[in-house]
Amino acid sequence: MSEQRRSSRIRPWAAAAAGAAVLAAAAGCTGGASDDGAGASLTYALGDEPEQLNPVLVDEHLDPVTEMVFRGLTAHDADNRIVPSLAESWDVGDGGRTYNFTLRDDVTWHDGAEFGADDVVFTVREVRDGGLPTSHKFAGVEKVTAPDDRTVVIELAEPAPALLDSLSNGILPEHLLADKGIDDPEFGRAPVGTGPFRLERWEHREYAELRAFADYHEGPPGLDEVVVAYVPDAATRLIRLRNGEVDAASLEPRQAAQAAQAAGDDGTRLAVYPTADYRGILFNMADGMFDDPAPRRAMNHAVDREAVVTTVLHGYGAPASGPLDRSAFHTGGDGYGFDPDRVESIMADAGYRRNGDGIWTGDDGPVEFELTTFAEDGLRAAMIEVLATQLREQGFDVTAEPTPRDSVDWAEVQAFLIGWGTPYDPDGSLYGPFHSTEALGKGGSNYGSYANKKVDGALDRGRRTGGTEERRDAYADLQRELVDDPPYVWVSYLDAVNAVPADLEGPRERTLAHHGYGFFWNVHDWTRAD
Amino acid sequence: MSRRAAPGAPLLRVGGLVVEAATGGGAVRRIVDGLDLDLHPGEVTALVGRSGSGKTLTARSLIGLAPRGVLARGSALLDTGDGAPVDLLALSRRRLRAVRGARVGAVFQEAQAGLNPTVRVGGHFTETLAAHGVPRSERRAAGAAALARVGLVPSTGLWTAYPFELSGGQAQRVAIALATVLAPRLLIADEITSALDAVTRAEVLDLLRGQTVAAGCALLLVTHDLDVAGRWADRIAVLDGGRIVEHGRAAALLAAPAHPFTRALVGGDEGAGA
Amino acid sequence: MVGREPPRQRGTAAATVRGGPRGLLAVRLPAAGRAGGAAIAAACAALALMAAAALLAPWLTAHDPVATDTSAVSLPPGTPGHPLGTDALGRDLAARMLFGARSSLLVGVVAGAATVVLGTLLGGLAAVAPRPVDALITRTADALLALPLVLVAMAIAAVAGSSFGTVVAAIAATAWMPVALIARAEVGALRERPFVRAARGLGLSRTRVLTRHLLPGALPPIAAIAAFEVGHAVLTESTLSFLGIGVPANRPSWGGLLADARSQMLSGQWYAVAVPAAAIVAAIIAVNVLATAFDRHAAAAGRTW
Repeated sequence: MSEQRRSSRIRPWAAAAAGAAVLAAAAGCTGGASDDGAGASLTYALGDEPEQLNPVLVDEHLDPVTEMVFRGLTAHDADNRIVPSLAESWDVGDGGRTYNFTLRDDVTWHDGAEFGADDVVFTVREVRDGGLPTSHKFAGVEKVTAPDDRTVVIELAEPAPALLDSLSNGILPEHLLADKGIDDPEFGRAPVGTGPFRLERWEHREYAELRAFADYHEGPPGLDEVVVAYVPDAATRLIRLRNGEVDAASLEPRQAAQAAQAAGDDGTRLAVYPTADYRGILFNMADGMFDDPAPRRAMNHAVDREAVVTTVLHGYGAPASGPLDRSAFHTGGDGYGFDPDRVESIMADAGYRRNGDGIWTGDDGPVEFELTTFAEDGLRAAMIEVLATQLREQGFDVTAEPTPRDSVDWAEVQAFLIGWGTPYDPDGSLYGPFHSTEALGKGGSNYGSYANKKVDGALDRGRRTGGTEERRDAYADLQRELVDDPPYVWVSYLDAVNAVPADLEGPRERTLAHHGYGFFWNVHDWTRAD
Repeated sequence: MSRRAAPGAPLLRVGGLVVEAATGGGAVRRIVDGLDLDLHPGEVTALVGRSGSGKTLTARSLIGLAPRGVLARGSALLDTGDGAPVDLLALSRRRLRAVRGARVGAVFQEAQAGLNPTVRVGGHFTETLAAHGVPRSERRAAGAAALARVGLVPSTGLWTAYPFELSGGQAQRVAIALATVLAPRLLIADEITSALDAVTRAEVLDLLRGQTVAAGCALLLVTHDLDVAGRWADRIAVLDGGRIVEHGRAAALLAAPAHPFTRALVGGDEGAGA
Repeated sequence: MVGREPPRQRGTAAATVRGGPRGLLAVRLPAAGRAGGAAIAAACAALALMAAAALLAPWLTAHDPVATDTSAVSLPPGTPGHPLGTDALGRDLAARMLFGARSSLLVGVVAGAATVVLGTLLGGLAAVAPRPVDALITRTADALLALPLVLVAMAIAAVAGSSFGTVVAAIAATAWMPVALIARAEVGALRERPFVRAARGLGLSRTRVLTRHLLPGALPPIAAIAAFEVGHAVLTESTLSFLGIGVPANRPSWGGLLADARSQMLSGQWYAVAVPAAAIVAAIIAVNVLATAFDRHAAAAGRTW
């Protein structure tokens, strides 16, 4: 996340919010038809702003506005389990290859049109064929049809347990996009969805204003209005929170620690939720210097994760032992403790000796490399300083060197502090980063070109098997193999910290996604005392 | 204007030299208006005239060092001793550079001002010799020889001295040595003795004359002082109104000046004009 | 030097820079002008101290300026072993200040040298070249004087990425103008001196005359401004680092320390901001005093810049 200052021109939306609040209060005072709590507004400050508000253009994370405006066939509950959303029920047949969805009949688009099976067919087909970042979600779909306006049938070549997950992505309106294409930029600026809020206005780099959608199929939402203010600098978000310009804000650990001291006094409280977002040191296997797994295993014992969590994350996180710690498929185990003696024994057994400078040296020379990450992300930049110091103390000559995002050349990198993780179906955040067919040279997300046949096999099985037991075994094998041949030094999981007004009811804890997205998963139920 | 036959072919033939100065607003003032002059080897020729008559401009134009805004045209054919004569006024910049110092030497008034105050005497020599391609090993010797020729002892003390440590006479000799270190065939001396006392002046001029005669080069001695011209020049050319109004052998001209201006100069205004 | 100085051919007006020194250095401290010797001595002492700190940094502190220490986070000044305290990652602030002086000074010296060389060459060239070239150089100098430093630096950083080289280039590109104009005036005056004419008469090429006779003669006033340019460069580097377009973020530098500390302003660690800010302010004042003294001296000699 960028920490650069932005010029402050936030007054317009503050005026808009104030105006709306006044109007709403006036409406309440005249004793009209509004319920208690309706007419309440919430302003939320956030750092990252998307280019367009279209759920099919962004893989991995959904920004709050898109999350509030769109709905998919399925959704996730507080335990991140699949629950019905626009589809009210479904059958799975033919060994997991055929899905038969029955849609709700009371869903309306924000522009008043009726939602139907055509929209689903349109979305699935266009995404699958559109060469988009999300295309791989429906890559296995052979056929998608709508026998009638309330039914959608999806046929797959092979079972794909992740399909239900993929269908939680927003469905797009066929009647608006059939002619213009699913990635129409106009639509991306003025989206139309079926969610509880509709986008009223979007001022780039300033704010997005959302109004409650009265015809939402679960009834009107508890809040009348939500305004998302884009404030890239974390310190500024805290200042805005403190002086009342925003009601709520997404906070980074340092600011969260400061806010925690003041919480309660200023009418706010902190909602701290775990996320599936983890950080790890990726090794560039294509380099050749990391072929020997021994140093990689030793380094996993050389970092003091607790210290990193305490110092860099101010306690808002937890040590990581692998990519599935927050998943239902996590197989326990000791993980990696901070153990200098283990470091010594692993390296010595593998034939390394400490040289004159105290650096582990083997046949190919001393273990030395440059650890880099995105310079704009203050948290990552601080983390690599701490990790580099810790590794140097254990005899690995590591230099920390943050690089601006635009200058990162994955082929040239030696080690990189990377972030992955999804609270939903694990395949989405495992196959891409660790399967050998997704290596950097082949255009995939396996930036370190890690290649391990057993890992490949486990990932393939996990992706294709329908039965939960088989899947569980596959991912257990995966985790075992990742311990023996670690592609990363697993560092820590992050917590998401949001400051909210004390009078806001509704946010419920859930394991959130990358960047803490998903906080608004149940925004429909949120209310504020007037 | 009569031209008497002189022994040997001329070393330098200046024909129709015109020098104009831009006076601003596009206008030009013609200072030298068709000057013809021949210089012969082994002879000292004095160019005399009042101040402002264009003597210095003529001298400077011959080696292309006229000030900005001043244009010279005409021809100045120099017999370089190898091959065809070169026209000094028509040379490209590069050839002019090669000619200066090597074929044509120039010494100016106020010799000390003509030496770079931050460079030692020896440095002046090595720089000039280097610019003309003399190998490093020979430079000290050539410089020492030139200094000896002007009557200075080429000691280390002199070689490493700065210009401000030299007396007026010494500086003038050093300037002459610099101008002659490469044995140019033509030497131009512009009012070099105005700032010297009589004794030093005599020494310097004797030396110059001796070198000229011995080496068979030509010396153009620009001066306002008829006395100097009479005693050290073989020929005198009188410049007035932008032209040579009279020229001839020194003794004869001074004894019997033909032109009214010359007569005026000789007659009562000796030393007139500064 | 012997000989009277002839009247300047190109006019004294051309030697005056429109706009004068800019940015942090545009403010002149009136008291400094009058205090004279004492203030100048103090300013020189301050800058010398900074230079000494930079040079002796490795011996003045036992701490590695980039090594974090998770057990010693956010300690206040005066803690044993950490005279100026530590930052949020446990790095010793005194070590970071000393090594920061080093990187600032390195940038300052290199950029100052680049500025002087570039300015001298361009100014000397403008003085001896034909009118069109001279006009091109002086017009470019005027145009650049009108641009704010930061804008130019950001443009360069956008194209070339931010690095040590970019910072040096940005500083040199925005500070060469006063040096060039002094060089131009000096060389212009020297051109008309007899010894220059004499050198031409001996057959020296124009380039040789420029480099061996004209530029060396112009050096004394340029040397005077060179020391000032180094100070200016140090401050510019601080500005750029604070904005994030200076030297790489994790290398300690005073501007970088200030940027790091900015996010700590709301918590109790005032010293993380105060220490680098105080050092930068002291450097500004010192350089300002010297600049004022130089101005007065130059004005007395008949030149302004």
